[in-house]
Amino acid sequence: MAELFRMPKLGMDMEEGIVVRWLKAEGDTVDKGEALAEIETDKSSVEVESPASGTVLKLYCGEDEALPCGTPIACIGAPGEAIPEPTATEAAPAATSVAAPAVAATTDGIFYMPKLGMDMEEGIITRWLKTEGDTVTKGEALAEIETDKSSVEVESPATGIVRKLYYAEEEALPCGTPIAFIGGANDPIPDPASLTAATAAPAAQEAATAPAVDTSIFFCMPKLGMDMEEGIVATWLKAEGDTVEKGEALAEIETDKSVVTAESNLSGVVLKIYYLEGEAVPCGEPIAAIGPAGTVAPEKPVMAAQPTEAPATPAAPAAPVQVARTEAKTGGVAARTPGGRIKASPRARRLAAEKGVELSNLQGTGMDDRIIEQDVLTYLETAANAPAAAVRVPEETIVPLTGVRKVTARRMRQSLQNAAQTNHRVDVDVTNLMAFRKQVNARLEKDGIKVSIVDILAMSCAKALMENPMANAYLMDDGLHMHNYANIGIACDTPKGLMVPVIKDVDILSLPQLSKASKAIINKARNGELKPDDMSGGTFTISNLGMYEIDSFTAVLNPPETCILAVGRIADRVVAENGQMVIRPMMNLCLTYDHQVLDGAPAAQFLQTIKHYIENPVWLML
Amino acid sequence: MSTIMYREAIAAALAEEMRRDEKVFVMGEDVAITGGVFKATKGLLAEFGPQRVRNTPLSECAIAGVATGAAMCGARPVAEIMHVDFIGCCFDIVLNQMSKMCYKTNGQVTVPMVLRTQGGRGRSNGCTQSQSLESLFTHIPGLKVVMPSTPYDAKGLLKTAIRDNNPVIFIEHKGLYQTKGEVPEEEYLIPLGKADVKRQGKDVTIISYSKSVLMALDAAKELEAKGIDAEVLDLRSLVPLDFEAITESVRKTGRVIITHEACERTGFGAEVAAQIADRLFDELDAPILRVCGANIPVPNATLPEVESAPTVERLVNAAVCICQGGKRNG
Repeated sequence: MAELFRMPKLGMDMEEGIVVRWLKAEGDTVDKGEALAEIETDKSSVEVESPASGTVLKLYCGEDEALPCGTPIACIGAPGEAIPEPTATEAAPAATSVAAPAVAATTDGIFYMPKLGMDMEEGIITRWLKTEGDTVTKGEALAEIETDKSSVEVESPATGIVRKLYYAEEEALPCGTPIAFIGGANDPIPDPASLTAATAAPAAQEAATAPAVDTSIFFCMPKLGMDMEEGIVATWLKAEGDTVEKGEALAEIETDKSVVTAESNLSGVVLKIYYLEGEAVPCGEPIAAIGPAGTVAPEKPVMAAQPTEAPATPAAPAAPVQVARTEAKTGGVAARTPGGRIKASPRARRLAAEKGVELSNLQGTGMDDRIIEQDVLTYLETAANAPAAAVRVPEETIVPLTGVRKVTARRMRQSLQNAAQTNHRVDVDVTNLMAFRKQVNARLEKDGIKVSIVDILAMSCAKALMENPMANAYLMDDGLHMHNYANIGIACDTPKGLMVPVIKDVDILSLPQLSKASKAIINKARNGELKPDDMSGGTFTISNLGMYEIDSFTAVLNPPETCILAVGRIADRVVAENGQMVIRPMMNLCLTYDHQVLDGAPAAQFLQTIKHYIENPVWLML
Repeated sequence: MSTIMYREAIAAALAEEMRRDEKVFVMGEDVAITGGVFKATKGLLAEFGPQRVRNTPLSECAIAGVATGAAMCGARPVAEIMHVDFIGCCFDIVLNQMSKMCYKTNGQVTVPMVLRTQGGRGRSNGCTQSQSLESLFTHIPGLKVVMPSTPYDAKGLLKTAIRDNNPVIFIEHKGLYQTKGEVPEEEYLIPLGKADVKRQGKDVTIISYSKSVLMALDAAKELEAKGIDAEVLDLRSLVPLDFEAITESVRKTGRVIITHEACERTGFGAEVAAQIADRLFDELDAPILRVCGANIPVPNATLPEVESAPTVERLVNAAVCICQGGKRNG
């Protein structure tokens, strides 16, 4: 019996996926568990595995097609076996697998997205260290979880067999979401929707109680442009009870820019129309249900009204990127049948599909303005022969914000929104600092310690912070939180992005202690081994771009800190000294501070203090 | 090689086969002394005598019935029905005896005969002597149907038909008898079920048979001037049908026009079009068009007779339409 492979539902809120690449062709043999396709969701791209062993009898869709979860996309079976007609409206096992019959929820064996820090709200499973079927012992590493601060290996809460991984890698999930089930070989796999979140994480609660809706029968408000957030159902072209074919015009949709005929994404009977003509509906919201005659359509489903790419095939292509690509080359508009289907010969369609040419913008030159093979060939030739400048078309690709990038983006925006940031700059003569460092390192060499410029800067800042406590404060809702310690963060560029490891209690460390601590923590940062603790509690941050030959720059505050010091490079400069031009090693410091906490003068005094320590490092010993 | 007429090629094929095999004999209305109304049996009486070249009464029923019986008894008759339009008179014999005997007797009895006849318009013979009725025969299991367009094909195919152990309906065209073509001196046979590319081309395949092939070739010449390179495929035999040749040509051109004199409605072109749509859908770059006879009785008057049939002009227009992007209706 041939087995259908359906667009898998890789996450609670996944409604559709794109087959980015078929890893097998029709006729290839495939083993159960072998990678069959690369599927892109709105969160990530995942290789998905074949549900059965056999021959790939049929690939129902091409690459780069967005399809609702549950849509059959391939058929695996014995060679020569009859290929079943794909019916998208069948109950989709993949789509409902997360909504398996609920069992008495026991927290035993359920592994939840851990809350690894006070302010952690969600985490990303960067890597599963076990696969389904593996045995795991309590305390053994099960997954690598990325928080907004770091990446951490988390341990299994139980011993047993990894029966179910509820989520794929690269998924961001609220703390408390059940992400795996560890149990005996025959234990029923609990339905995550039935499990109460382990902690009172509201987001997790929401996810857990969201009803598992079979989205495969819905025709949703299509997203017809990048900035389209909602559309108005201008005209229904079919009524409830009418039969509609996939690709047939179903409704006229009015956007703020135009009126577009949207084609049905499904074949069947229009079971239910959820919105009247004239009603505005957010993109992605189901507006009709289509299925086999006699199917009971669900009431207006409550779905997250997030503007996802519509599973419907709108008359104008949904993917804005593709529009840009073809518009630039052709500019024609394909003739259409009264039903809205593009007029193209079978031969032209086949060639276009093979070459990945979008037909909708080709101008047909065949009989009755039909697109014929030659039109596709001409298009391809034009694309191949046109000079590079003409071929290069504006293309915008979208890389979803994930992990550290996402966190940095959020924190930096918050920073600029919540603080009155301004800055002071000063040039510092580092002649003495260099000499001091040389002397110190000559003494410490036997201990294997090498003090860096940044170490001395950190120590200078710590001293200055103790003398200017307002610069070391947090501005919170309830007032200023003053600190009797100086924890100094060092901004580090790591393979994962910007990380700020924090050296604790710098104000009371000796220079060798400070040097050892900073070296250790910076190495951890570069190796991606930072723990949340390593990055929390900072009261002040130093950002140094001297190694990139930057003379001077401004830094953005690292909330909730009040100050950040941007350090430029050390370079020989001509300076005036006692009426003489002399060459000195100079360095620019730029202090960004929150004017809500510090006025200009105290901030200047603070920066001056730092300057004095740097220019007179012997004072650090006092 | 000698250049001979279509009717001479028929007579030559008959004479050669009668010399080769004494079981072969000819019968029909006026086939002996006159040599047939179209002179396709001219000269046979002199060589083979009245036993093997037999005139019959004006009874199609007798002609078909006797031929079928003789064939069942081991002879190899070549019976002539003067006009295919007269087939109605003996249709039970064709439909239920000639074509079914082998099947009914589980192969114990065969009917190795040829029913020669001719059809088509062009002589103002009127609606009962100008029809093209090949579809009546292609629809009947148990018959082979051959419709040659040239003297060369006529001779080679008729010889093969005579040697075939099944009944073969061999339909000539009254407008072809006087046409000339080169035919080798030496003996040759053309297998049934082998189409012939009468003209190579890459833009559109014109599928035809019998006299319409000549019109297709004329159209191809005109199309050449318009920059359209037409391929003309002569089916030669409708049953068996050479779908391989059709496939090869359609793969190349992606466009098909089927032309025949017979009425368009349920004509043989419908069968060819359906098979192409079914089996070569993805090869098609345009709708399959038919340029066929009007669905009316063939008029007597010369002009309407011509205009109700496919013409070079209609064929050229159809080809331009699918090759150069015209509108279906104008």
